[in-house]
Amino acid sequence: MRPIDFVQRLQNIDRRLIYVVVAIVLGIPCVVKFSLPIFADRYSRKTFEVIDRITRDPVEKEKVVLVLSNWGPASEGENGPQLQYVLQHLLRRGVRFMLCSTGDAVPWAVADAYLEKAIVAEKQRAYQLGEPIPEFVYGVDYLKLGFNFCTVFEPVAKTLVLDTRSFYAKDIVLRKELTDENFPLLEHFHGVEDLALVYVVSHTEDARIICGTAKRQVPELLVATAVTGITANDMYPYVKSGQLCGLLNSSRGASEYKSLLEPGDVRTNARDNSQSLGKLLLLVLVVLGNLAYLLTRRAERAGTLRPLPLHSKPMSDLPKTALRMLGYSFAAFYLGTIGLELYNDISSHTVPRHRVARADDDENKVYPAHERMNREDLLAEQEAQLDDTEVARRAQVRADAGYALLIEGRIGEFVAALMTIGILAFLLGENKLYRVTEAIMVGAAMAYTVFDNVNKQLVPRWIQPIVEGTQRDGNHWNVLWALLLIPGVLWYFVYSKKYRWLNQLVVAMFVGLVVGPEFGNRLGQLVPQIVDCVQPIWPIWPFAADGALGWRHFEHFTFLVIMILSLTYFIFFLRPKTKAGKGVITAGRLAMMIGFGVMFANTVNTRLAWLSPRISYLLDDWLGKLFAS
Amino acid sequence: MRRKLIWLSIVVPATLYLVFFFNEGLKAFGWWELSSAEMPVDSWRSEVAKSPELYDQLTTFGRWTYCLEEVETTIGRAIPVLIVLALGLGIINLFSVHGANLIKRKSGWGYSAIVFLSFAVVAGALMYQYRAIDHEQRQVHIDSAAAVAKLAKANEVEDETKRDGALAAITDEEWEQIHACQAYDDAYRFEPWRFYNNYINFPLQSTVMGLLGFYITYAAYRAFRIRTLEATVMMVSAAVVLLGNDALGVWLTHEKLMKVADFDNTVLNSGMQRGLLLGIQVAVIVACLRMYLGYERGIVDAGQERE
Repeated sequence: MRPIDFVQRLQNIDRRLIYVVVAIVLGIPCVVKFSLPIFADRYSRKTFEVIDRITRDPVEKEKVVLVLSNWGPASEGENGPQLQYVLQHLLRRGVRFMLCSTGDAVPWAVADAYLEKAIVAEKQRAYQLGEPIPEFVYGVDYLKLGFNFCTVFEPVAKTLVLDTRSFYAKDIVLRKELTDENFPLLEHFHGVEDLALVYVVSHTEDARIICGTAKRQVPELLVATAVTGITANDMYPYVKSGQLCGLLNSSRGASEYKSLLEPGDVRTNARDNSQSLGKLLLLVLVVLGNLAYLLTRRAERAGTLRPLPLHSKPMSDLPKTALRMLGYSFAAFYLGTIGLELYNDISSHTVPRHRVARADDDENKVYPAHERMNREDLLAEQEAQLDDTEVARRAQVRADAGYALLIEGRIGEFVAALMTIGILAFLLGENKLYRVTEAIMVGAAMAYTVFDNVNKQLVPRWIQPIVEGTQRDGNHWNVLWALLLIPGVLWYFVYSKKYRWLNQLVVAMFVGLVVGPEFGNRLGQLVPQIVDCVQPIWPIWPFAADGALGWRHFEHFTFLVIMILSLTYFIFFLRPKTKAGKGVITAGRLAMMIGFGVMFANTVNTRLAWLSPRISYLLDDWLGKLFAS
Repeated sequence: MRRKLIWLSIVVPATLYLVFFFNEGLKAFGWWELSSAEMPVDSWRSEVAKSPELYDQLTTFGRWTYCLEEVETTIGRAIPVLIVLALGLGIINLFSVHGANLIKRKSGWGYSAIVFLSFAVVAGALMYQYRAIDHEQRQVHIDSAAAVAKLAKANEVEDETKRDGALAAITDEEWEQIHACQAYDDAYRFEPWRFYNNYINFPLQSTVMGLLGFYITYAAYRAFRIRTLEATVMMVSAAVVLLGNDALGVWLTHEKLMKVADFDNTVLNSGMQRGLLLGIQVAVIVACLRMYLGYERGIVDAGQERE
């Protein structure tokens, strides 16, 4: 084969080969351990400084932070750490906070899980440092407001922030009214003036809507956000205009925040490294693809290129026999891992877990990532963590519970690994494993969405008030909530040919509920953006130190030039005929391309941040515990 | 008639929100005083809600604003209920599509059976969770909430003598409640909700989206070609951010690209985004106005066309 033929084939490489390379590269950091220094960018630093100032200011500390968590497991790789590290920061410094969501039951479940993770991480940190283990009391240190399922955020954003107590009405754990008597935390929160900060962790642009609605009415309200890389692109102008006081971009932002929170731990972990290698691989592939393209084009022009043979067509499905063999091999491997795990556990009476750092750890020694624990080890650990007065009463029960949880977790990890591989099997094309996993997902998700939303939303926030309203000493006005049944029933006329238009009424009502607030919301967002453009740009000096006046003016001037050039691209009714005019349009197009390049890079960040946790889950949590411990 | 009703369904809630918006403007500009008494600037409404005497001290504009804001909050609470009431549509669709597959033994009916099976298993497990675990857990925490809060408050006191005094004030009965709550929390119980979320739901959903990581890498390899000046600029900008905003990239480029990437993100990208946003914001306002005035016929006519 001539070199040019090889280069030509390189352009039509089978997609599955690329997928395998991606999986291997992302998995390398789970096997080969290394860490690199982390440098926080200016907005991550700004976010940390704002929150840190609140935690240190005695006046602000008396207030409450509202944490809005609107994201699902899909963006867990990014939003999870963004939520966890900020919650750890607040817990560590004793700042009270309320956690809430406007998503459905699933976003709330992940938010709840990450709050628990933050609490456990803070306790482990204290254990590692040899400090007393902190107790975080529900209703005193933090409050779970739960979720109000709003697929349309615009009409509720203002009420959520300005009238939080009425909007949620009850907490999700005890289902009690949000009053000072029921929750001591609420003695510190009576209205928006008691909010030190609104921290929005989201996969969409909820913080922007809060800026356009609530902040419009209360300009001194501090709003910070943590978003996925894709969404972060749109958020940058809002930080510049001061509408947002902080921004964490993607999992990178979370890692940078952690590096500022833990100055002794400013190095990357396996997941960061996995994403880094993924980005590098992508760049290498793009360069390779372009080299192949340039060489092929040159050969094409010289007439030395042969047409590709038919069998080199990419995207053909795997033969059935090969698929079947792969399936059998996987089944054998999976059952083998179960057998090995059972053998390890039963023979040694231990269960594996990620190693917990201890106070007497030697800094110069490298410890394995996993350890095997038996009941006695766990009992000793609990005895070290509890007060002397509590050891006799609680240590044994907690050790037993810890052991049972480890077993449950290990069984769960095998199930999760099967689910993960079942979905990843789609990369090979349609196959039975994927179809079965997909069917499980559809049925389970439907049941979960319906039952959890009805149980945690409809019952406490709609049915219970109505029932209470019918009782003698209840608030009789609450019975009026039953009127919602009328528009609620209209949804179901979609199945009637004759009365389908009734369904249109409720759909149109929701359109109206979005259209109405949009006027105010968009104006609330737009005006500060325009006002921010008007700033002094003199003296301008690009070589001044970063942050100095001359440099800031240079930045703002460049910002304005790019903005105006981008706007000129959209003037379609006036096409210039002079060279200078055409130059401006071309410059506008190039300005747009710079932005699109950044958008592409941030999108890559997001996609890899979503994928790398799954790869590391398989290699580190599932197989790592099996083989490394 | 039907068209008018549908159009009114858009206009009435939209108008209501416009009234909220203009009222908010009047309030912000201080055109009319809200009250003759001194009240907190932002949480005045909750104060009024607590004591009806304060309502009498409101001016006419204050009462009008109070009622309007109460309506806005009520709508905010009603929207989630209406959305949850629509979830039944999902069940009906699921059962009708997969039920038909199953009854008519269409190809892949086995997968439909798995859908029903997983639906039933998760539904059963959740019912068990709500009835047996959540209810009991809630009761234990409600019974001990006051005592636990009292202990937490006592522990917050910095002065040691005062703290000891506060701890001594906790009665034996309250200690019993605290210990009962701790014993309940310490003990292990299998929670299907937690197991389903941690080991089935989260891995499934995050892996589905994780597939995009493979696709974007392959798409970039196949399609990101430097054919024009614009494509070159885009690629350079992307490469700068990919390397400059990443620990490995910073290490490889000896920290030289870090500031350039920061500039690219926060100045160049920010400028371009604001240019786009200014256009988008105006366009959204215009689109809303068209819908409001009835020029946008798509929604109004959709139901009629189907008939």
